[in-house]
Amino acid sequence: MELSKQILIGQYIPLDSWIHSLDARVKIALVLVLSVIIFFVDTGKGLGLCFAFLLLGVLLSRIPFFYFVRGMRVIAFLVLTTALLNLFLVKGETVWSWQFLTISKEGVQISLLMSSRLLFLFGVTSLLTLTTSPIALTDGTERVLFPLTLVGFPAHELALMMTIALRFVPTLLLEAEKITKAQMARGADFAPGGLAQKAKSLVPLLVPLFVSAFHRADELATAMEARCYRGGKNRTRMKELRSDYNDLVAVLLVLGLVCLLQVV
Amino acid sequence: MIIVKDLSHTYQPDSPRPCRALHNVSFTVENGEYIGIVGRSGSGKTTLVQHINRLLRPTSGAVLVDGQDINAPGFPVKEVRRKIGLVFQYPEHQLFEETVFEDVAFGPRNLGYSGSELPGLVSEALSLVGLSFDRYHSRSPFSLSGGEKRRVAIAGILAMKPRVLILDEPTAGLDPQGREAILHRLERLRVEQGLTILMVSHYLEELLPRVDRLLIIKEGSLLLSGTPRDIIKQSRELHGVGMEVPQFVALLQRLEEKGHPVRTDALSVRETVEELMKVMKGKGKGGAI
Repeated sequence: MELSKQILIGQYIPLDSWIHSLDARVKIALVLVLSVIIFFVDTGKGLGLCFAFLLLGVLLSRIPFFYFVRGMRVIAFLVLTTALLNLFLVKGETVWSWQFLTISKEGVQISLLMSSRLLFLFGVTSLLTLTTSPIALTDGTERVLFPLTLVGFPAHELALMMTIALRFVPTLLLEAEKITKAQMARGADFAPGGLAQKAKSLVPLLVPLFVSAFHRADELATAMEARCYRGGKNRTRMKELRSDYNDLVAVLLVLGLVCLLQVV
Repeated sequence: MIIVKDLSHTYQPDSPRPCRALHNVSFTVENGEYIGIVGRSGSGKTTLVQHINRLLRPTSGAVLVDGQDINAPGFPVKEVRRKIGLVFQYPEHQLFEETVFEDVAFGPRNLGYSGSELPGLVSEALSLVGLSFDRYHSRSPFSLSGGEKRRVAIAGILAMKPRVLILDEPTAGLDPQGREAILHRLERLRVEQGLTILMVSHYLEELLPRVDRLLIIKEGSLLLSGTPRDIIKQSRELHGVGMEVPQFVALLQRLEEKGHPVRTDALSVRETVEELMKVMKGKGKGGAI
């Protein structure tokens, strides 16, 4: 239980909101569109508009605002590094310097732009994973990637791998917790000393964890074959994804944003 | 001596769905006692035993080992782990070293035993579980059979020289022979080493003839506690926690219902046979079945 609190993979929050009710395929496609668009935005106004749009999305999703912001902490380090690197390394009209450090006007601009883009990217993708159940997400991914199967891309297999990986995250976390406890009962100490010592102390945890993961994979493969699993061909679904006018509204909203961005 | 006092534990107390796993459990274990802990899955048995060597901390209540509160601030954890050995469910899943020797030596090494003491400890622990040091010490634990793996894992705990041994379903998933072997070894350990043993199990049959006392856990609370003979008489309560009395007890109960003067607190097949013999002799004297 302790471990599961720290790791935010598959952080789906089941709520009943407009964003939750949208078709997963549409959501994925729109996130892709937004992720591309943000790289064409290079004005303060444009960025402001994008973040206002993201805020609207968060509000519509009914996810507590502070919960959402806290989730962003995960990439704080990345954003900060990007900002600092751009700030000091971009050459241009110098506005401040001290010893070997110089900050240029362009540096400030690019640093702000880059970190905002990263935040926006992470924001929209978080909104997607927070409001879409893992199953719907993988299902949607498979459908969005479907055209690529024409050139031999294994869309179904990829989606299946994602489903299995997500399915086993909690299982493996529980397993890790159990093994950790069992080794602690044998006097193991999981938090001593430097990095090398720490890595070494993880061996008693990782070896049994891998052994059991391989066992599980083996058993799962057997179980799937026993039920005549033959890959994605001619496979039908129990739950078909359906689009309705709500999805159309969502598409129009994003189109509206794109048009607005053209104007400002 | 272990004293568990008003022990309660709640998982995820701050979450919207807290899970109350234990509620005001109190009992005492004397040195050298053999205790059986019984309850259906999810009743809190595992949570309970993990408190006794401080893998879990109580939400409220206390665990005292030899008069000392093991959850007191500054109390050395390793002292608890040295005194109280806990064998997890399916302990063979925690083997990780390249050789049996290294795996059994993992615990003692963590407790600070020096390299020269290790061979002695390992060989003694292996012989306690009935494995020959010479034949096994250099083999890979992953090449052993299921029963052997489990015995190596138990040896890994015994090598730490605990005075109390807690086992969480030590016979789960073993064949009857492997089961009998483990139970037999445990009894010898108790007699020869004077170990205090707490054993969690689903099988009343394997606990009844061996243990001094049984603790029956239901939904996180201690429902019944007493000697096996006291417990076996309360078949209705046992039924309530999803435990059925062994078939041989059920047989004697049926005979009693039919009016035969038998005792219904037999703890083993052998005792039952003795009772049956009495009934059969009684029939010779003119009784009717």
